[in-house]
Amino acid sequence: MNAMMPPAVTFLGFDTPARVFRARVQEWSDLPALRHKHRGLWQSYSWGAYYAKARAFGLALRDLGMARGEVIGVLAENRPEWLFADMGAQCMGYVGNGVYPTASPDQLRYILQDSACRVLVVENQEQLEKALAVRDDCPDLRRILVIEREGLRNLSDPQVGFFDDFLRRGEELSKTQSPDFEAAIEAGRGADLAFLVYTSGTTGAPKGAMISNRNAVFQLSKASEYLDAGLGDKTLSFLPLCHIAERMASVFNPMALGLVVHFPENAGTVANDIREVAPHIVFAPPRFWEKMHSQIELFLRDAIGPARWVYRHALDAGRAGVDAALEGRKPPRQGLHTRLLATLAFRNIRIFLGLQNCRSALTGAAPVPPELIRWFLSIGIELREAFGMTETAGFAASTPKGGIRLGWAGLPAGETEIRIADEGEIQVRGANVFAGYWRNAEKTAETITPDGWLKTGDCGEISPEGYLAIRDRIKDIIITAGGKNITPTQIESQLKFSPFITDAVVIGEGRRYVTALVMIDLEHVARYAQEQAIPYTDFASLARAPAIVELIQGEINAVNPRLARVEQIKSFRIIDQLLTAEDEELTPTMKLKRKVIAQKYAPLIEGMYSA
Amino acid sequence: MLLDVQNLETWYGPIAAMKGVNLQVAEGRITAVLGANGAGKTTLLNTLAGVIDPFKGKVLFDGVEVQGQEADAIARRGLVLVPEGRQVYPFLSVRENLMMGAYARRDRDAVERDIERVQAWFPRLKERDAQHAGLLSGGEQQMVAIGRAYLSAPKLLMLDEPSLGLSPMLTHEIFGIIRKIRDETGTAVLVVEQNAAVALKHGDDGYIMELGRIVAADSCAVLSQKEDVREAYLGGGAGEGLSGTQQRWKRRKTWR
Repeated sequence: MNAMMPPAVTFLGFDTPARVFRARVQEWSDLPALRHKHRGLWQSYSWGAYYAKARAFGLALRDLGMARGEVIGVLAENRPEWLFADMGAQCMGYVGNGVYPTASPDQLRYILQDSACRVLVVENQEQLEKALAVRDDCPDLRRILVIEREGLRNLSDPQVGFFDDFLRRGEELSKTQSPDFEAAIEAGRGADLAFLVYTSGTTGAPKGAMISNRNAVFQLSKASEYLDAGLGDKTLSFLPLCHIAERMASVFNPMALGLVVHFPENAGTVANDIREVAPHIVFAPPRFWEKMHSQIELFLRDAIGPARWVYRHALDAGRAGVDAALEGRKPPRQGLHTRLLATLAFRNIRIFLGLQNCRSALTGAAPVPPELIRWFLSIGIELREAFGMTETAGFAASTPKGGIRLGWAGLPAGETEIRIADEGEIQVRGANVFAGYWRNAEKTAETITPDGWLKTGDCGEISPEGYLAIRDRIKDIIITAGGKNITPTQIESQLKFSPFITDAVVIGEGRRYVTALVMIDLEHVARYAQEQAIPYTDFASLARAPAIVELIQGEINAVNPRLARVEQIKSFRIIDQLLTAEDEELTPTMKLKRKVIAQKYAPLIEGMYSA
Repeated sequence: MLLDVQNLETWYGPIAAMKGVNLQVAEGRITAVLGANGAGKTTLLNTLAGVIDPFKGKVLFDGVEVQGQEADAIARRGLVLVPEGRQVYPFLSVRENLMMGAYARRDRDAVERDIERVQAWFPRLKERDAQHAGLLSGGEQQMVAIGRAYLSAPKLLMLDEPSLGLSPMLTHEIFGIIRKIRDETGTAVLVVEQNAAVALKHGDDGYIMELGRIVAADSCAVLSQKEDVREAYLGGGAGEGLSGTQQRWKRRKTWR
């Protein structure tokens, strides 16, 4: 991107992830790398086995006639095969790309066409149906590989094969062609593409962000800066692997630190799996941590009196200590009795949540309510914020251990420059800035300045101590009729802290006052309704029940005093449809899409301004 | 409202089989509750009939709270259950089975009239009047079970899976007679069914249950037009897929 040669980025002396991978495999050959559950039992793949599978997949791909720089796609939930395909492709110089398992056939078609995907790995019959529905529009697609055979016994299609057959073919090839695989790893260069990540596209069509080997190696070299973990420590891979954060956490961080990646049985068992695995590292968006918090709060509401008393007492004591520590005061002296109570209560909560081993708890990708961090600090989990995006190939800033400052996301990572440009925009420069958008020079030029600064589209500020704060997406900032600038995301994050509110959209552009559309949390609201004997039948009737509207009003009333006068929510409506990731109103990561919501619920919104 | 169920909750040991169920049955109407295996449909009927005591919630029958009362007291009030799998007395004759339904009644003449009425609805039962009920076919046993329930002079007849083990033709016949009972006597009917197509066709109001909760409620006519209901329960929507089933990714849908 610049005229001058960028300085080489290396980790362990290697400049591509494929070479780091190979070196790690030689070092840790017999140690476990991946674990997944098969019929209820954890099964391990060692680093050696991981490498052999990746090699088999890579060689079998070459056997299909793939050329360096061509793209393969994976449409599957997180599982070891995902990584075999991804690393196999990377080692051979092909480009890996993940597609969200919740993608619709139309979205899949777009991504296959845009990336000129040659080989697509699909998880099962369900995903295969999507691929078959769109393959005629994807002339570049040569082969589809299915991981699970269930329901496909009579399948006969020249374009479709099974993943395990394909791997067996590759293992056959490995016997004679292993040197070619090694040569392919040697041929990789720092500037080559490692993989593509399609941005979820809340506005317009998704774009393929190109992550180069150099970006990935830079992040490898920074892993120990963000994470306090070492060889044999455990992680759970439960966020979508197509997302940059999980890609880094499940593919690259393990290579840097020697983590053992665990795959949940399925998306529904994450809460159990995390308890069972008790990971040392957890990175998740605020939504996940909020769920943990409300789970405990609601669980304790049903607990016996003494348990509730211990929890409240310990929490108050913990909070006092936390507030003092955050403000730099000496924590108040506490009696042995109180300390003992706190230790007992919080140890059990941590075990209940599966966080008893957790040394690095990180969150990001959305604003984090300060109350949430305070709560986790009180129970003894240091929940740190990190800032990053697809275009920075992962993190670009993070809160250092022991350096939490509420409302601030942290310090820039080493060798990463961050500045505040026009309109308060946060801009980033460093070896983590991505290589541009796939086949979209125009958007690339809009996003990266000629001298290498990435325009993040977020606005924020930097404190004198160098801490970065993220205020909002620039394009989301609301200007009211009174000319006040409002950052909706901050308000929404405060609302979302309530266990009864899953998500909210704050509205007020060009309006006299601010309002909100609220998506309620079915589980917790239904439970509340049952406790209070509020009759309802389906979701819509629950959302419309006067007592529920009152409940949400109460939650909003609790938030309003913490907001500036112009930001206070004067009116709200509950979205009376239960939305899932398949609905167009939500992104695959379950965030409400502001624009779609504004359009779809225009009558509801107008209703809040008409009276 | 003849039956008004409010926030009913039933547990089997540590397992909540039914949570926050709200449902109404109007007089003279057939109300259908649909759901897959394990949705909590039978639990609902058993709780209403007093076979199981609810953990929480109210059951207002004819304006009186009846939750937690003994099964026989509830049956005497006119809330009568036709249990799943018929449960006829196999060694009693058809007539004796019907008479067992009238066990709590003292109005002999009216009982006799009701037996004639049942025999008019189910001519087959007249033919087999003296036969042991255990020797009847499944469809005939279902007729006995419905007839027996009718003889207890119900205000609300609750039927648990009347189509179970019956041929499609017989199922339609049974539902036809259920409608006849409603039309001729004004008895309200609460029917629980897995066979959604039949239940939606013959019912007036419908509820859909999933995992112990009501997820949709509307008239049967409206429900049977809803796309998500059609896809999940009526085998409509997308065409056939690879495994001979319909395309599954469309079914991970919520209830609108």
